[in-house]
Amino acid sequence: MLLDGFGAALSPQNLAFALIGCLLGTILGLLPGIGSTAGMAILIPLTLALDPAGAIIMLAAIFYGGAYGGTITSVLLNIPGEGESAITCIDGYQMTLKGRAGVALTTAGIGSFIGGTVATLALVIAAEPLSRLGLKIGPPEFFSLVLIGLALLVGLVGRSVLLGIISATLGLLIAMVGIDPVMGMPRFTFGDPHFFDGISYVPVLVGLFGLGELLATSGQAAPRPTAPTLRELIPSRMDARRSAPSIARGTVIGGLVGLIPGVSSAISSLLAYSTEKKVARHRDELGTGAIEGVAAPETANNSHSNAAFIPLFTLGIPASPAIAVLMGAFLQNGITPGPTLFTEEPELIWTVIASLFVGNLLLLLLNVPLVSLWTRILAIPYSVLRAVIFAFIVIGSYAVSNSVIDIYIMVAFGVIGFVFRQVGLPLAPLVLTLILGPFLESALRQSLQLSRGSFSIFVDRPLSLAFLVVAAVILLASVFSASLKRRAGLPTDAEV
Amino acid sequence: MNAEADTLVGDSQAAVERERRRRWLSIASAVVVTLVGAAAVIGSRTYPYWTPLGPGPGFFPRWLGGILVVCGLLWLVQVLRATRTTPARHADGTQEAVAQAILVPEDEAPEYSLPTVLAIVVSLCVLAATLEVLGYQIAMFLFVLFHLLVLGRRRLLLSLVLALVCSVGVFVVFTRFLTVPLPASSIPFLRDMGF
Repeated sequence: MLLDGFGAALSPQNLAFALIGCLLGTILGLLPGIGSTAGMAILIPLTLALDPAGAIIMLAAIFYGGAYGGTITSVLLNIPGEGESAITCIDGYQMTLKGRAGVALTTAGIGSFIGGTVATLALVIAAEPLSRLGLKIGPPEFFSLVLIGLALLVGLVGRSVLLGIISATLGLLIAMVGIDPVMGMPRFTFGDPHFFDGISYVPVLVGLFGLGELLATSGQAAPRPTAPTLRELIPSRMDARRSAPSIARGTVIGGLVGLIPGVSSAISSLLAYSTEKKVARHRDELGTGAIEGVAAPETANNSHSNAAFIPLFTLGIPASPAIAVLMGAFLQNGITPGPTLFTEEPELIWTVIASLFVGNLLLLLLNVPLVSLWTRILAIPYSVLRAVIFAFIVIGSYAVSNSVIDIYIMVAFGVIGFVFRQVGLPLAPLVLTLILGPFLESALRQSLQLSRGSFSIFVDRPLSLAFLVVAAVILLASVFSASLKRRAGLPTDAEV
Repeated sequence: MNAEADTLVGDSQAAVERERRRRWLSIASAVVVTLVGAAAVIGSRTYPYWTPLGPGPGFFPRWLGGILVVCGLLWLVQVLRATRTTPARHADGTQEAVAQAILVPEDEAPEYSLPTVLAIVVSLCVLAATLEVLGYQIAMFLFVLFHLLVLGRRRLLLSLVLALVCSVGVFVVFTRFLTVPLPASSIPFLRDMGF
């Protein structure tokens, strides 16, 4: 099956989509303030005219291309393109100051490739058994499982649990607009048939992440990179020997943490870095430009990103905001990610999985030699880039259903995203519940129909009970450990 | 007082101003969240809450609305209390650590410029409003030109070329090659001219 997938993924057309996705993703990831989530949201409209396989291959490529773009700015400019690369700044920028930027970027590229490939291999191995398990999961278990993801997201990455809950509830409420999924009754449509299909994800995501971010950073002067000397790109034998164990540790950490729904890859890179601080042989040098400080977190976040596909493809649960956006793109293309994909659309799913391997390889082959080109893109005046991005997000929002209303929705959510950033409301829970809302509601209502209205169904079924207990423990623990968390220096918002 | 001290005072004043603005925004947001929750509860009363089959279409929105009202009010209380107890800047310039987690610390929120934010939002709305009247090409041309010339203060030639690419160029590529339709003008005179 996977071989057939490779055959399809390597077709000139799909290869071209992966290539374009990698390049565009890297460019958007380079831009200050725009991470891979925003990049994907902005570029979703571009994929609307493609066939589903092509569209998803391209979006997946944008996803990890964006992550690599963030690494480039972290290393060269000391500006994290996104949360997951923030920790790379410490040693990456020190390496740049020592004239070793090329080595840092190559090592990050190789580490990302290894981490991503191993995680995708795990996906291949785990896919079929896990999706069989996924098929056995009924509505009550699904509901409880999503609650775990939400509890983690609200508890781990938010500044305050209260604000996380508000964000998640708002997302659910937005997802209520449209025809109700069980009885087919229109709700909150303001009598406008445009809203019968619900508020479409694309303008909402483009507004929240794309426009919202551009508004929030509108007062910042664009950073002017000084082109670094890229004397050496190839790591020395010493570098290779030092980074190999870090890459191995990063792969394992990212791969395991990536499986947990609701945890963003920023956590993986932080964990990988702190592990290096404890166990690496040259741990004393961390912070002064040690290669381990680049290799471990960059490997971990890519391993995480690829491992996060496992819960999406096998259980239908997006593990992070970025994956949630990807899930939105799936839905926009008429595909519901989940265990049924392997039986209903085997060709598509294996093509996409094969393209993850291809994309990781493309990223390595393309981006490492092109580093000096990428730094030149950063020299384009910000106002020019911004004008072009505005034009693009307007076209994108309009093209979803050829409606001006969607442009207004995009602008409105841009303002909402801007306010969220100002007042400290996290965006990640809202995105997750926005995408999962209809599934969550159907799961709850179907469960209650099964039990004839009794909520005891959630505690009578052992698996569901276990999930609920875990969710409650996570939420309670995070309420009480808020101060601990701040002291530990964990990020206060998910990578967006 | 030397120049360096001047800028320091200016910076801290701007910071206090930003802080104040952000606090009001938090209060307003908490009120809006509460109102949205209340609206959801009221709006969902027209949908059946419970049906013979189980929970109806009104079930979920009503609970969500209720949660929002409660959380919005809690947030409001937290922000108001934080406002009252946040210590003022001491005379020696140091500031006591703000214990409240509910307000965004100064260094974490990105910097924005209010005039730019307003200009962007208004220009986008104008673009949306004129898109189907003037047609994509003219509306987008004017929009990009405004952003480059007025907001970005770019050179005229560069702005004209970029605006043409983003309007006419994108129109041709999208409608001819990507088969994504973009709106044409609804004014017959302009439409006949190919816009």
